[in-house]
Amino acid sequence: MEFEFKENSSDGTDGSPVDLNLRFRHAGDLTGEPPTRAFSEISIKVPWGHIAGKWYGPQTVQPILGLHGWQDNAGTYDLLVPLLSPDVAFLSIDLPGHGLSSRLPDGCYYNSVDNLYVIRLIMKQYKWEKVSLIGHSMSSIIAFVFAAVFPDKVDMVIGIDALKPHQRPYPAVIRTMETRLDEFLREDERNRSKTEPPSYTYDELIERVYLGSFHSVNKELCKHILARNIQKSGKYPDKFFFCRDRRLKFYNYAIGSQELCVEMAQRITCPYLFIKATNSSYFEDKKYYDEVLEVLLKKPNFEYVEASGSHHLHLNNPEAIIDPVNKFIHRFGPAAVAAARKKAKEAAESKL
Amino acid sequence: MTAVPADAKLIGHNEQQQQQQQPQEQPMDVRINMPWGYVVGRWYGNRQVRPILALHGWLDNLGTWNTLLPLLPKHLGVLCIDLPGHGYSSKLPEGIAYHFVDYLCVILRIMEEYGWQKVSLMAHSMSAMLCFIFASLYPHRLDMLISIDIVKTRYRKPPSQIDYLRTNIERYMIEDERFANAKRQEPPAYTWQELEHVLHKGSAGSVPLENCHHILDRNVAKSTKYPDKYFFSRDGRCKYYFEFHTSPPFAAELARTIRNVPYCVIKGSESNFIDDESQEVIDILRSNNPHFELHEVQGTHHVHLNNAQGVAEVINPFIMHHRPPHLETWTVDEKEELPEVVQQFALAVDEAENVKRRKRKSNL
Repeated sequence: MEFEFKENSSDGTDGSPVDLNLRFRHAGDLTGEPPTRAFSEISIKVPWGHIAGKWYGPQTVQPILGLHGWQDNAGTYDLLVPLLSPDVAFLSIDLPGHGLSSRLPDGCYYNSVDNLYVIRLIMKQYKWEKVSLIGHSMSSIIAFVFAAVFPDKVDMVIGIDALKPHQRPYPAVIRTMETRLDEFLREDERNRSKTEPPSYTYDELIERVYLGSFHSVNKELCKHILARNIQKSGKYPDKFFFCRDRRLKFYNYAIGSQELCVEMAQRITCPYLFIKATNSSYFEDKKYYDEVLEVLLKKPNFEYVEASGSHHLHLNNPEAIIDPVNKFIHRFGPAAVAAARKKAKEAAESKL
Repeated sequence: MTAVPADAKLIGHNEQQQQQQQPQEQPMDVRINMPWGYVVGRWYGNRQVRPILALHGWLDNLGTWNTLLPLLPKHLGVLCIDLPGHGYSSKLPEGIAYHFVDYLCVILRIMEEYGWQKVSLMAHSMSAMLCFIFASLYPHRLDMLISIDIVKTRYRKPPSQIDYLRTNIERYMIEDERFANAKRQEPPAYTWQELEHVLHKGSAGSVPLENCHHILDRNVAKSTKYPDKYFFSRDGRCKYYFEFHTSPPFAAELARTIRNVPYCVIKGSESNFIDDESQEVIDILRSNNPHFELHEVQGTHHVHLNNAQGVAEVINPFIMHHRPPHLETWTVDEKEELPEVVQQFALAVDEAENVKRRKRKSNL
């Protein structure tokens, strides 16, 4: 198998490809604290490089695949994972261009539909027949789409705060596309220049992450999102710079129209838990959200939870959502699925 | 069509200045750098003015324009390119799928390379859908658009679109592995006759057997295992290109922004690509855009290849109207008949123009 897997690499004794003099696997590498939960730093080979991630919990069971939001990284689940059941395995990855994962080659555009392909690649590497997904924001949308496009490849989905591909007024979509392409070309060129981008002190970085998330992430917790997205400056010894791929700003979100979203909702058959943060916006006209939610609520294995918190509630106050999450995983997660399969097999064999 | 001489080499755009002294009848092979490799093109005709940029259809290459090019107006050149993954252009890296944004960026990059503020586009099929988006995003950067057998981007009903997403991703994964292994194992090889049948069938009969060679020439390579066989050298992953589908209201909105762009559409009489579904957009263009033209010409989806005469008859007046020839001289009388002092003045003006041309990076 083409991935590296070291026991307890969070204590710094692993041989992972991360250059610990320059990069940081978790907030503790920056501040000297221990990780919120012990993990192994892993690396999955993909055609253009590798995808990095943090594997929590037992390494003998299939983990839940955790995907972060736009311009975040695997650190987004740092405060959720310690609250999971200890028998649950969790793999939080950095999407391409984010965190410690390779960025796409020069000249290539980031498209959100490509993340469906990334999930299939990871499944292929680990030989998972089906995947259990938990996604936040942009990845919550991707999990929704994945469940609709590959209903036979999904065991369960947990989505946090973004239900479906957002619908925006068409004139706005057109104007955004126009400026995005030009800016992408410029950013692509800047990527290739070898000069270091502007660097900041630790406090300045925290401030930037705080502002960049529109105050959604609590200030004292920004370090968890920060750690994997920065690199030590070569020019200024006490400073760091953001090294996530700046082309990410021009992500191509085009997935489809509202009627496509409704059709997708109808096609989802897997157990699906959706958590809406009450202090976070809908990112689109609420009527589109309501229409799709109505379709989902009719399904017997769809669960809808509203919890108090901002867009990053899984990071700020995971206690508010951990109960439904743990119960859901217990009922539908990889362990439950494996047990059900075993039982079915035994039942079939006993009939012979 | 005059064949490219056997010793024509691939030369870059910067060597074009030297070429100005040489006869302009022979097409010039060009190579435009892209971050992942390069895009190859062929510049036919006049190289003194900004040419029409011609884009081929899905899984074709610049050979698709072979029969039409000799019939186009002589004052304007045509720069035909092979899109990434097609013909002789570089393929996208491993693990990277082909998306419409990539092709849009190719147009923008070519414009940047040649210093064009505006572009004139001629496109077929998939590229015409792309140019419809381009026209709507950049109407101020487009001074002419000719589309062969397409008016607008495609609409897929949601169930079909979901299935399309799934097959694209799954088949892309298989094809990407083949691409990665291509260095070690040659793709399946066919005789030339077999290839013609594959292309003919693959195009649903749109490309007749006798015209297949125009497209096959640049999309296949000689097999190293079987002396009389060939394999497809164009990127197989292009088959799983991620198109930009639009819902009818979205396409209508896009059409509304194409107000002042000269837009000529040729419909192949035997082709169903332009059907009732396009009517709304056609109506919007007819009422919003004074320079919109829609003509039906006898032929299949590849009408520009099979009935070049019919197509040229329609688009030549359109080209003459929207990209008229520049004045070559600034006086009506022959030079020799002019008084001495006027002749001297004419020489001085020409000199100044030449100096200006040399100073600018591009005379386009």
